[in-house]
Amino acid sequence: MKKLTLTKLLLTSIIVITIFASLVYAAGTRSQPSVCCEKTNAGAYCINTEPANCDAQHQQSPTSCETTSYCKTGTCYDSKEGICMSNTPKLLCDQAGGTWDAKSEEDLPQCNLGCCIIVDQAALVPLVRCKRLSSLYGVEIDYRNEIKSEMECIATATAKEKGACVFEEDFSRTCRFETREECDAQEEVETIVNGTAQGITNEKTFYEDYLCSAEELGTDCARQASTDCYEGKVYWLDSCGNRENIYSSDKDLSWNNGRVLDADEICAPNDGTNKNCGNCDYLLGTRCAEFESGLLNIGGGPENGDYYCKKTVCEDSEGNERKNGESWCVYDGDHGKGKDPVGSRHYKAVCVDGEVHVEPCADFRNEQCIYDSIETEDGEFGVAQCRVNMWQTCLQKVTKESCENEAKGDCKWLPPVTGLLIGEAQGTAKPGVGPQAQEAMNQQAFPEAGDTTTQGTEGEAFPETTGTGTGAAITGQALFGGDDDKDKETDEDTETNRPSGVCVPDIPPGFDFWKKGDAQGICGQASAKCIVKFEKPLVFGDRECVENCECLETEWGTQANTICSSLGDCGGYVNYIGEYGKKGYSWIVEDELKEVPKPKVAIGRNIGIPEEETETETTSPTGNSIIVDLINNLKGDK
Amino acid sequence: MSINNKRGQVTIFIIVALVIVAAILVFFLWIKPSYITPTTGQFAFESCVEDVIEEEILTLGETGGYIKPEFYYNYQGYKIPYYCYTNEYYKPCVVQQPLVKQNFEEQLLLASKEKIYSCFESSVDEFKARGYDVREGEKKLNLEINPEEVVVKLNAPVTLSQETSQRFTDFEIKINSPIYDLLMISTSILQFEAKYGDSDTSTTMFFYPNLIIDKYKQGEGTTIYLLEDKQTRTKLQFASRSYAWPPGYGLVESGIEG
Repeated sequence: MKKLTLTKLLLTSIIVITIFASLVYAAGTRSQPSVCCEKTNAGAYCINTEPANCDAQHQQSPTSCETTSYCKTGTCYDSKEGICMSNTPKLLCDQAGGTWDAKSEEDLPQCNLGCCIIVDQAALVPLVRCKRLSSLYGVEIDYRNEIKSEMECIATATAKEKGACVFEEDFSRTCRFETREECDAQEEVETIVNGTAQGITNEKTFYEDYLCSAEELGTDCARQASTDCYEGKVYWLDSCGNRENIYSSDKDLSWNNGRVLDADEICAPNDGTNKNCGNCDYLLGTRCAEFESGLLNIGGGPENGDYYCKKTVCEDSEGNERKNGESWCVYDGDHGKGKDPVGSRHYKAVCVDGEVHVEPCADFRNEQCIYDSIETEDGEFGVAQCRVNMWQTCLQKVTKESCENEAKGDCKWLPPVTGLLIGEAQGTAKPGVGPQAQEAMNQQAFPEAGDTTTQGTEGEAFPETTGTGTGAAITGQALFGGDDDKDKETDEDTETNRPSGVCVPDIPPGFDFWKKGDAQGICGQASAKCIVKFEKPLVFGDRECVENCECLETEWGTQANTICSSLGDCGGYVNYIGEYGKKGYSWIVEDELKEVPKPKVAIGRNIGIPEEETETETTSPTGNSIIVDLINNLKGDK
Repeated sequence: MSINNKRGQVTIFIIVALVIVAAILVFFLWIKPSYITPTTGQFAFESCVEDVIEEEILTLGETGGYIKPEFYYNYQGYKIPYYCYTNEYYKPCVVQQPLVKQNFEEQLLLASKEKIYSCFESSVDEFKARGYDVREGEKKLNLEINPEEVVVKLNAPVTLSQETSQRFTDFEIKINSPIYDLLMISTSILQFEAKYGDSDTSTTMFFYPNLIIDKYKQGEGTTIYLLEDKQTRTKLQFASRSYAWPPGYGLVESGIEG
């Protein structure tokens, strides 16, 4: 009997443990992502995702990829090219033929950077990379391990003396214009006697500062056969393709009797006005380019060759001249101060060699374009950059000082709005409408009017009411919880949890509101409820507003809607093609729906030069009684 | 020494000189040994190989150096492979292609191998048509991408016999191409993406004025990089998703599926 009881106990325990373990496992599998896939069905390697996404023929572990042996990331070293690649999984590095190390790039000696000098060029690269580059360019390695700064490295590489490297090839005496090192001359002969080069042998001979077309050298290279670009300037080329001096239509001056001559001695730095001087100047806004002659060479190209100093200035969309390298911001319409239209984004435009390249900043206004200018001798030089839009913490800030601290966020301070509550509502399952808003739409909460009546919100969005009380409210859903308490409605005063003002994103974020996301939650954070009080004479006469009368004005609705639209793609606002979406709010006064006037928003690509900050005067309505509902939804209508 | 003797010596010298010149002319114009012309010599398939390589580089560049990209982003009809990717938000990407240049070389070899062999065979067929007896050995193809050029090395032992025999073994063809620069800049961009999640392409464009480097950020966090040589229109495009930011707070959806 005892034995049977023990067996029963044991069996019960096993069952209980099994059920418990199953529950724990089930709970575990619900939290996603749960496994590290060596390879996903889509073909990506080392991804933390759901088990169903893993390629069945590869490994998977119920842990993060960082903790697995096959997907642990480290540095992949390419010993042939001398290139280090961080954040690479071991598996992929091995597959590609690299050498993997768990250490970071900075801790690997073979990835340490030094200055590699290749003729008159320099690069901050690892030693093996320098060896590889030197071998590819056929020069001796010159690696300075002690130089760790890129600027210092570039400064180290100075132009080396160049000259004619003369040698015999295919029974003819030919030449290459290069440095002494590149020439690798066995014997150096730099004297010319009676107009003839001395000591010529079959070996290479280097003549410093001579052009290959110098008559004394007697090579088969004829002077000034064509022109070409080199380092942004126009040069003459001899018939062997060697570079000569800077291009000038004064051929004799440029040739200089076959000797190297400084560019400035041939012609002054060209600002783009002279097509027959190849001394292009980056700082003057010119660069060597091929001349597009068009029909019958109308427009006057260079006298010789096809290259000239092209002006590299650009023109922005507003017709302003932009220098080479200058960048500026481009927007889809109004920007900043909560004005960015729905669906808009910021762009950075750069002037590169006379062409404007437009680079979009991150979508959903996750990045904003910032701009500033530097004063130079030639005027202002604009610099723009896309950087992260730090809007996330704005709503948590309750003082103007913390709100406007640019180091801690991209926020702006708006004046208070009567009855505005931030973060008091909560999320909803109904797309586009917050739970509170949804509830407000489903319930009626407008009590019978009395002599002096107060009316609460949380009623139907479009209620059928009678009575003298009027409520004004903007409601919605909130991320931080706290539903508006509908039981308190009737007798409470108008409350706001932002009595001194509201901190909102300067550049409202965009949402993918067509997907299930947290857009509803963000929009629902702001709601406004204003109770307007009336007095009605006992016998005759109409009711008279005595408190919070401003809540019945359009201005109140506009102010409340501004808060909504500043949160993101919420409230009633205009999208980037200029369409106004009214579905983003519901403003109910008594039982009537009211409309917020369409905000004035500039639409269309424009250049963003920051304006001076102007303080706009706004009224700050206060008071109490009657109710107006303004339900803050997504702006929609993208 | 008499004048007659001197005349005789001059005549001999002239005859010897003529014989030497004639021998040199015969040697170079008729015999043409393969070791003197280490490239394709009489095999006129250089231009065919050049066309094949140029075409394949253009095609491969559009798909980031893959014949058939496996993991890619669809962008304007192109399958653009991810060189670096994470499906999560706020995290650096995991490198998907650590050796960009080597991969391109391998894929280029794979894509052009049969076509290059075909170029060579066409050339051999021409010899056969001209009555040569041709004996071929096993072929091996290798290629290397270097600055400003792609070097194709074909090891194809072949003996041509008619009255005399000639043996050729190695053929080396150099094709001008800017693909090396594009691959090295891509590697540099990839290094930045894996570390910092972004790369400043406008600065790079100033160092390489012959290149256009554009980047296009997509809504879900992917960045498309497009590198193009202005002169040859050779392209290289690839995608990366690193340190992506969600729309809104991103509390509901943590990222996209891998």
